[in-house]
Amino acid sequence: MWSNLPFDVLAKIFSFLSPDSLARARSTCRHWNACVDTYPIATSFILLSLHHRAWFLALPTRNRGEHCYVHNPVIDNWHLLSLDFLPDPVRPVASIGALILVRPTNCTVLQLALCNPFTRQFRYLPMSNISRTNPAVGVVTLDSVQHGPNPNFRVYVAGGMSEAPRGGAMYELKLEMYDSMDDTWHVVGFVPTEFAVRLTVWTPNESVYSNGVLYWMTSARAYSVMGYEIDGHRWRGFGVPMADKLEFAALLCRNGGLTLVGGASEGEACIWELKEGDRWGLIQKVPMEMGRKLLGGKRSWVSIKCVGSEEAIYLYKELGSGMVVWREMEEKARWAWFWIEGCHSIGGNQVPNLPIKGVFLRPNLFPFTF
Amino acid sequence: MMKSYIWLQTADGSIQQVEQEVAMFCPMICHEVIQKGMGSSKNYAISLPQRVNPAMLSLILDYCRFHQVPGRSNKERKSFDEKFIRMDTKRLCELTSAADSLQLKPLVDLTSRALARIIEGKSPEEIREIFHLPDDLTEEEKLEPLKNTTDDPRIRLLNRLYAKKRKELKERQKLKVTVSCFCFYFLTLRLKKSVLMIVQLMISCHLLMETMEILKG
Repeated sequence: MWSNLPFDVLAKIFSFLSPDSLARARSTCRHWNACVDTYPIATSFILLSLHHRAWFLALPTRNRGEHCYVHNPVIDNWHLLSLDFLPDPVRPVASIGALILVRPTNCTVLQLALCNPFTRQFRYLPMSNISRTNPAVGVVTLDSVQHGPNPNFRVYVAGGMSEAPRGGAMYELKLEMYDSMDDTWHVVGFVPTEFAVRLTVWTPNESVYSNGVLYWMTSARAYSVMGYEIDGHRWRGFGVPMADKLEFAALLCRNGGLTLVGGASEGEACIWELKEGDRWGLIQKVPMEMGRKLLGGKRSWVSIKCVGSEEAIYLYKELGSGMVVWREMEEKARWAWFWIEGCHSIGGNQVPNLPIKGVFLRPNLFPFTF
Repeated sequence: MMKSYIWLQTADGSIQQVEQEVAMFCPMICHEVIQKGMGSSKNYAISLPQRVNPAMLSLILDYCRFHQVPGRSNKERKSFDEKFIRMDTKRLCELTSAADSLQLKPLVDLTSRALARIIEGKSPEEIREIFHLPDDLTEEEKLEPLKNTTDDPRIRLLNRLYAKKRKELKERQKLKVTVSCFCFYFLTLRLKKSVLMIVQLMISCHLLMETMEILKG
C-alpha cells in the first residue's frame, strides 16, 4: 500500500484534524485505526488547541443569530457555525478562552451571557446588583490555560446610567464585579464622575487587561484611554497619538503590553506600544501593499476594524475582504506580516460579504460549568 | 571560488552530487557530513534512507534550494510553499514520508497540514478511495465506541449511533444462527425432497438478504 505512512508521521497529520474527522479517519482501515489508538495524545485535537494559535471568529453585525464564521489558522480555512442555539441575537463583549461573553442586543439594561459556539452551550450570567444601561464592561481572565480548559474570570462593570432615587436617570458611580468562582456580583469600588460620564457616553467596544490594569478606550475620536488599576482602586486617563486624526483605533494586549493600532486618513496604519510614563512608542507600520489590499482601493480607514490575541493582530473589514495579520512566528520574539484570504465560499456554497465583528477564541469542546 | 558539492546515494543505487548549501539544509545530511565526515566524494556518498527515491529527492532538493536562500521574504516563502504542495495525494504522502526520514521538519509540517486538509470533513469511504486504503476492519471494529475522555458531545452522539448499529448487527447475527440451526434440523429429518428444496431456497434467500443488509449498513 503506497500510503502506508509510518505511525509517527500519520499521528502528526491526525493532530491537525478536528475530533469528528479524527473519528472517521480512525474507522477507515486497520493501519490508521491502530495509529489513532497508539498515539492518543499526539492525535488529540484538544491538546493541540492549548498550544496553537487562537481562531478568529467573525460574527455578522447584521442578521445576528443565524451563523458565524470561524477561521482555522492551523490549516487556513473557514468554517460555518450555526448560532441557532442562541435564544436572542447577541453582540460580543469579550472572549474568555474558548467562550465568548455576549450581550443580548434586544435588552437596554445590561445583561451578560456566556457561550461556546462549538459546543452550542449558552448560559446567562446572573443580573448585576444595579441595573444600568450603556456601561463599560471589562473582563479579566484569572487562571492560565494550564489550569483547565475553561479558566475562571471576573467581569467589571463601570459607568452607565441607572435609575436615580427620585426618578430619572443618573450616571452610576459604583463599580461592580462578577466573579465566576462564586457566580455572584459584588460592589468593589467607585468610578470618578468624569470617567463614569466618558465610559457611558463613549461606550467603549472592548476592554484590555494588562499588568494589573483594566483599560478602556473611547469608541470614537478624539480617542483617549482610561485605566483602572484593580488592586489599588485607582483611575487614570491619558491620551493617544494622533487622537483626533485616527479614523479607526483599537486597543489590545500584545505580549502582555498595552498596544494601540490605528490608521489616519491618507496615511499608513501604525502600531504603538505603551511605555513607561504612559507614553506611546511606535513599533510597527502596516506594510503599504497589504494596507492598500485591505482598503480595496479606498483611501479611508474608517471601515477597518482590529482585534488581537496574545500572539497575533488582525486587521479586517468585511467577511470577504481578507485580513492583514501581524503574527508571532514559531521562533518566539519574531513577528511577521501575512495576508489571510477572506471567506467567499464554504463547502461549495457562496458566502455573502457581510460586515462583521471579530473576536478571538481558543476552541475547545469541554462543557463549561459556570 | 569552487563550489562545494555533497554526494548522495538513493536506495536504488544511483549517486548524484548536490550543492553543499542545498543538501545541508536537511538535518539528516548535515549530521552525516559533520559527525561522520561522509559525502565528500563519490565513494563516500551518503546513503539516504529507503523512503527517499530519486523523484522525492529531486522535490526535496527543490524545496531546500529555495528555502536555504536567506534573503527571501515570508510572502515569497509562503507563495512558494502554496505552489509546491500542489500535487496528487500519493506524491504528497511519499513526500511526507521522505521528508520525515531526512528530518526536514518544515517540509513535514507543510505536507502534513496539506494532507490533513484533504482528510478533514470526508467520510471513511471517501478517505479510503483517495488514499487507496484497504477496507480491512470488521463492522464491529468500525463501530467501536470512541474514547471520549473530554466528553465531546459530537463523539457522544457518534458513540450512541454506533451502539445502536452494534445492537442491530448482533440481532441479525442471532437470526442467522437460528436460521442455520433450523436448516440443519430440516436436513436431518430427511423430509420429502421437493419440500426440502423449497425450504432450502427460502433459507438461502433469507441469508442472502441478511448479507445484503449488513453490507449496506
